[in-house]
Amino acid sequence: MTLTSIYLLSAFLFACGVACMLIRRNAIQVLMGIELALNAASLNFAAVSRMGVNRGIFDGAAVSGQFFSLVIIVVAACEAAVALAIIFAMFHRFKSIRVTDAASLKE
Amino acid sequence: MSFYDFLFFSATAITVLGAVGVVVFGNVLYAAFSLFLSLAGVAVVFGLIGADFLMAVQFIVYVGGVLVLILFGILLTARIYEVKWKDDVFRPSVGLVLGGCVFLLLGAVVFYSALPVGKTLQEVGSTADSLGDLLLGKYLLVFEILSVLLLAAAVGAAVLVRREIKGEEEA
Repeated sequence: MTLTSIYLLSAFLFACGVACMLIRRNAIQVLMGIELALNAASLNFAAVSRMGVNRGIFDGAAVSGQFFSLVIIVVAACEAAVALAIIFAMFHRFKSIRVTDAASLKE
Repeated sequence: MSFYDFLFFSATAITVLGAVGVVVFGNVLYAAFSLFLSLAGVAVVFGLIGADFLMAVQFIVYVGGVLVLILFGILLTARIYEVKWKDDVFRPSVGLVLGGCVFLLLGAVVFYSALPVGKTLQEVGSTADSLGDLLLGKYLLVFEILSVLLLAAAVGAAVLVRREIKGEEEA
């Protein structure tokens, strides 16, 4: 087991997230796809930062990647809160959370 | 196969199964539970590659926070028992093929680029203390900006979902 398996795992998670975003009409499931893709990105940052730890370096430079993962997790939490607020507002207005139903700008 | 490898394989398998479930389950609630499996698997992988603090954060923020928020969203809005796969998906073949292409592309990048691979993975010590030094040292400004961002997101979400109270000013 080397880091390659983690890179592949994160690539797979990202692809699942992209597929989920593309094929779903339900806004909540689109949001789940986005969460998967963001999680894949943070996993990759943590995996690359493992290299410094592998070499026995435990100072700040080695765990910078983990800090970036932390930033991604915080931004994903913000994004989930705002996205769910938008979904609730959309449900009030259109009585539906399908992304294809929110097309009133077309008219 | 050592116990570490066994843990690693099981965490990877759970993560992959959960991610596939998110894509294929028609029922939103089942998809949310698959997402739970996948996020928990990623948390275990974080723990196994020496990012123990990230593992805790992943459990608290994602599994405990974001997922509960998503479940609330589902229970308040979606009609979970009437959803059929056909109404819910939008050209599934195109999306699945594009997703597969993304995976192949990223996999090719993993194999044909100079990403660091390193030695065989094994157990490492905790990195939480050096991450803490970094958080309140070199990246203090980013840390503070992140807290302002969280506040702004919370206020923005509250503003977005508030009910408009009409006629109160005239009355």
